[in-house]
Amino acid sequence: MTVTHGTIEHGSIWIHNGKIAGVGATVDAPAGATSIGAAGKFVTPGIIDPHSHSALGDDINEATSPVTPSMMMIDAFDNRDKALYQALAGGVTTELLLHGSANMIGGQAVVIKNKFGLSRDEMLFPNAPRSIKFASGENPKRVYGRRGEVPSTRMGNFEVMRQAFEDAKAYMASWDAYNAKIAKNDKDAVPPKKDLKLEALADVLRGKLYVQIHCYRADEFLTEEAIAKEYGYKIRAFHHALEMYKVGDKIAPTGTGIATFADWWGFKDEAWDAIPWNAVMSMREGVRVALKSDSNDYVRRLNQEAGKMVNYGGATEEEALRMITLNAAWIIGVDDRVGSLDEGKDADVVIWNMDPLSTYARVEKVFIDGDIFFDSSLPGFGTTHFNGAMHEAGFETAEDEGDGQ
Amino acid sequence: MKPGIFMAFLACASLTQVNGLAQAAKPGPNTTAPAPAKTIAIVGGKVLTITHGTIDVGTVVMSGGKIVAVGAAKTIRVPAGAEIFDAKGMTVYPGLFDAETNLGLTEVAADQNSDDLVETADEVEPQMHAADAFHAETVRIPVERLNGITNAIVAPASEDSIPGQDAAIQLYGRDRDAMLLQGDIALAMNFEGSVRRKANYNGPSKFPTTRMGLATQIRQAFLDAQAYEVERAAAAKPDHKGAPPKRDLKLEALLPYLHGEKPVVLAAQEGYEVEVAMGLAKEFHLKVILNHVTHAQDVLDEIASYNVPVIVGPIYDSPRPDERYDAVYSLPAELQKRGVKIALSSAGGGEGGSRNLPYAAGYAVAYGLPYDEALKAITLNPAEMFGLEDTLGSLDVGKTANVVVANGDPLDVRTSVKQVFIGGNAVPMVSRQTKLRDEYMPLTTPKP
Repeated sequence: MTVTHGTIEHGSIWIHNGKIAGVGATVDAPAGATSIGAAGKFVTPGIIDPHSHSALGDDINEATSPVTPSMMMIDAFDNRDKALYQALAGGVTTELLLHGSANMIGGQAVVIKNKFGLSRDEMLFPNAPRSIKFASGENPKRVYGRRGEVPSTRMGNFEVMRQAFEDAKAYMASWDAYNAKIAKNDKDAVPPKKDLKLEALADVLRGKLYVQIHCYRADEFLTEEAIAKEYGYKIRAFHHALEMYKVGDKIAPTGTGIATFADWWGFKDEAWDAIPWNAVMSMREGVRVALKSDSNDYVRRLNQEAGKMVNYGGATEEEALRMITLNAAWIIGVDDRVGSLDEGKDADVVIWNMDPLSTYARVEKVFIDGDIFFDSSLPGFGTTHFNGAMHEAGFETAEDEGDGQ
Repeated sequence: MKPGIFMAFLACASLTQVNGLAQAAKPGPNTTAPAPAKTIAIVGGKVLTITHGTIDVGTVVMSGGKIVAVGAAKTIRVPAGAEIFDAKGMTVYPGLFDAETNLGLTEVAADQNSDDLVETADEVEPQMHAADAFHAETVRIPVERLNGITNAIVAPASEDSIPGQDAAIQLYGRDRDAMLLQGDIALAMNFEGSVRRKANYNGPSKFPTTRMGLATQIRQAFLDAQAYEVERAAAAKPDHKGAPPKRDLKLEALLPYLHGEKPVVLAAQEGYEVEVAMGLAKEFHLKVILNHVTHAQDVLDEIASYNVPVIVGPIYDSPRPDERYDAVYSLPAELQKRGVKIALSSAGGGEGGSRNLPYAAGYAVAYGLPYDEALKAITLNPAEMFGLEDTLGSLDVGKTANVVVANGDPLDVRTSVKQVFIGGNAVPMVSRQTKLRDEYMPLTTPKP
């Protein structure tokens, strides 16, 4: 199941130097190549989760200020978290590990390849674009509101954001003025103080960070797009985005994608209008749609979440699979490297015992960059690179269950 | 009714319109009130009877709210005047039974005003009745039943050792009285570390903070109930002098369970918790349905030796860091293999809700549970555990006509339920969610 060019019955994939060197009914693999039999099996690209908080322990939210853009999730990344292993056994090869949603402007994400058992550095997705997490709605206003602080309303939420960008603009102007003096060889020029928080916000305004926004309600998508336009940055994706079906026609032209749940609903007021047809309806309106876990549980079976899209709205199998592979890769900004079985892409490949969109599908083997990391036929954990003890995951269900309290 | 829904219905049953849908189309003062069930024949589908195998091309006839005939299409004569539901190419199966939910006890989880999940002032509160809080008009029930869930146990949340008594419900009916099949059908019990009153986010520590405390408190409660019964019996004697003892609702609530008249649903997670909990149950001769046993892989043979049914999981609970990824997925299969009667539940539903119950059963199949046993685990087995097998859980003559028609395998995530019949009525295939869907359905045609 290539995702980009249909399903090849009785196909072959040639993997060479960690890349896909050929895909088709036949491939030009050399005679000496190792052969892995997959007759009767299903082969897909690795599953990609564009919204995870796995392997961040209890350090998901720096909920001490609504604006914390210099928090680097890499600093909390625990590469021995069992959640990564369990996701690997569900065929997940790439994850975007995000800050939580307590803050209007949270921290900067880390993109990993799920090479469970290797070192922290070896698990980082090389040269992946930087992403920053924004939030909106109930979580920030609840966290700060109950402390008697701003924001305690959606009015406060958005005003906190605008103020942050005004601060960043002033900071950028101070550097521009300094650089102008330097250009004129002004010996008395004094550099402004480096401010990590404002630097990060300036990088948003400079377009250097992908903006990933936790956002549920239709009105808030529109407000977020208006603020982005006002300050000149692009929103890469709305996450959760449970009401996108209401305004998909207006968001589609902006190019902003969504990373949504398949069928979660009703757990909070802003999820009350969630419907399981959201993903397919939004897709039909032209929005790029990915499914995501936001959960150490659902990350293990994103294939089933995709399968539900066949039921809820009549997605084709390829459309459904794209939501957990290529479209998810696009949200992270790595769709040129992973997310489909195409020549030249990273050899992140999953072998399933049957159609992965079926409830009955099990992962048999997972390859990342051409190396095998999971084989369910092995005794014990089924891992090929992991030795030692795993760590207890820090969180179990959704980011929305916790807010750093 | 929106055109979209009507069209969807036509696509699946082009021959005749059945009464529930016609009724939903009428503006009404109360379209939730089922009309007296007519005679409806579901014809030509693959029929999963649960009790007597699969009929490849079968007919199910419902009349007066009950199933009146089930068999191969060739052998069943459809009564004159029956409405026909054409199920050709579809799968017909009994309504699904969720062995543990909080349906009607909560609406929006984050909104405490809508929660009636559990009293937490005390740890032993058998006098709490889920039926008293059951909100029949919850928005959640129509959402769940559209995926084929027709019956459920409503249980208080698991924060207490004995949080109260469960109710059995039917997911369609005019009002609370019609939807409550039986209040106080079982006693909820939990012997789990999470019940301990340790200092936490909600407040300071108080007794019991240990499993020793939990066990002694449960034991004392049952002893008190036994003493109360003796005292009451003595007071009932003709020669008794003095006032009878004051009626104690809490202790009285435990008596049917001490007599083994009704089951206790006893939750424990770890192997050693299961052993302690079963020790208490044996001490007081309780009739046990074990619940969860999620991390009891080390005592599965012992669990089988108890000869009690088990509600397993949810199988999505996370394995321990030292366990293989499929340690919990495979639990239903491991128990069934040992001869244990199992049921699956959504255990409160999670963020997706009880509507995902059939997929849990399917996933258990992926990890070794025979298909027929998985179907039983969400139909007949829970009905039997709660003593409702005479009316629910299979397609058999005389049972309540809770029947589902879907376009494929009920356990597969890709399958769409096309029609649900409850009490012989075609349930309007409408929920708050379908209304939102139809209101916002894109006008644009899909791009090629």
